[in-house]
Amino acid sequence: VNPTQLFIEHYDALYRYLLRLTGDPDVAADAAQEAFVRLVERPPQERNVRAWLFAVATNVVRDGARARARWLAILRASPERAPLGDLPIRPDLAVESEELCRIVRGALDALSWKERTILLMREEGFAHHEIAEAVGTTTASVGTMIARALRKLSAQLHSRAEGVR
Amino acid sequence: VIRLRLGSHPGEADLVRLLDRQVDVRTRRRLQGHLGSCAPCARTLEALERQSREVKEALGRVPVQLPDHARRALALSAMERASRRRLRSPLPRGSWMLKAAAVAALLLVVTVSARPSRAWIAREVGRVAVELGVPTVAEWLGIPGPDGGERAAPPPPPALEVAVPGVRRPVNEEVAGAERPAPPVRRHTPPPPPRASGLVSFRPVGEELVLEFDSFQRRGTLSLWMMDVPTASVRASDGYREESFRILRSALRVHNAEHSVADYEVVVPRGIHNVRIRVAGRPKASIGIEPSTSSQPWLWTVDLQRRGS
Repeated sequence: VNPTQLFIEHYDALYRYLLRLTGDPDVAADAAQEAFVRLVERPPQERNVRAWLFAVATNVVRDGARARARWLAILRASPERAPLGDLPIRPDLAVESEELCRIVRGALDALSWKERTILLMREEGFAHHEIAEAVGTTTASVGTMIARALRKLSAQLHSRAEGVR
Repeated sequence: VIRLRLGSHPGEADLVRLLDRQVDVRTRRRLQGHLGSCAPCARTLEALERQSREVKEALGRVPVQLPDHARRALALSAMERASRRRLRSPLPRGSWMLKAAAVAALLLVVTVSARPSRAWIAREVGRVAVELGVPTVAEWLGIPGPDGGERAAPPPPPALEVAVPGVRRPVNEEVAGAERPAPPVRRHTPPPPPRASGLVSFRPVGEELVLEFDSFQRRGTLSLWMMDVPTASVRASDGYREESFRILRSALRVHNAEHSVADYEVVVPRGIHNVRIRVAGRPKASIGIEPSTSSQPWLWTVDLQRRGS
């Protein structure tokens, strides 16, 4: 498989997932880069390279000492930060988007690492067995964890939105 | 796809699997049949659907700024460096571990074998040690050499140890158009890694470069680097044995065989807009290079195994 082609196909989705997972563009970019470097260094045996890339990048973020240190800093500072994305061009939308960023970021931060990973991988369209492999759990338990995380995140979104009003 | 054992009521996990299309047709029908007659379960599914929709909408409304060009170039560059490191590596990871295990096994055998066998074992240990890049391992361990001496004689150097990296010199005498005699070997210059050929540079004529391989291989990969450099170059790396190159006007011919296991790294210079690859006389791939993108390095790999794609 051509690594450059894989990079073109999956880099954006992987970065988007990692940015949502960590809330930090630098951590996301570093982890995405590391996943592709490992792809070249140790090509995976399995056919589903996309799932492999996401699992590796998730592990990089979780296990990397540098990433972990930054992650803790982000967790501590999360209410003040709006690291989910850029600001829109229109100034009237900027305020709304900034607020939304804070709400979503805060709601995501309220989930555990595993819950966040599972929900965001689900949003990227992964099957339950792929998610299970990435987070190190059984396929059967993924459904339960998704239901719990959905309920938790939905409640967090509601309560934070109410708090803003 | 998961088959479910349904009791009286499906659990939330079952409903999530239904929502995510992770159940087979039969289970889906059974679940839908149950949901049609069970209001509490239908309400649970509705709640899950609503929560799922809310989360999707919330995430979708937050803009995500994708990395800029510089960041992508950095990531691509890191990938390329990793690829080069891998190509420079004398042996693949699995092979290294296998050979290390072989050395350990031989050392075990040598402790219990008779004296005549030790000479042969010492030779084998020396050969494997050279492949591992540890030529003095036999000496360190004090294994007797083939002449019955106390220490193993150092094994002969690899055939292409004389090739000096970076010097424009053909791999062997078959390379046409050699412009000058090979420079004398300078021992202080680091030799190429074991089982790697020297680097051969050449200037193809025209906008098309044809890469012809005599044969498919047992294993091996061709890595094509499209780079903004003035000259083309070729090198056989991991697994190189007796393969040779012939430079033609606008083509490079690789004399390999079915039992070859070498990897090849070819750098395609600026000005080449099409690369055609032929293996065993048959077209394998044709790669067009747009002039606008040729200023960036691009990597393209081609599997040289018979059933490779």
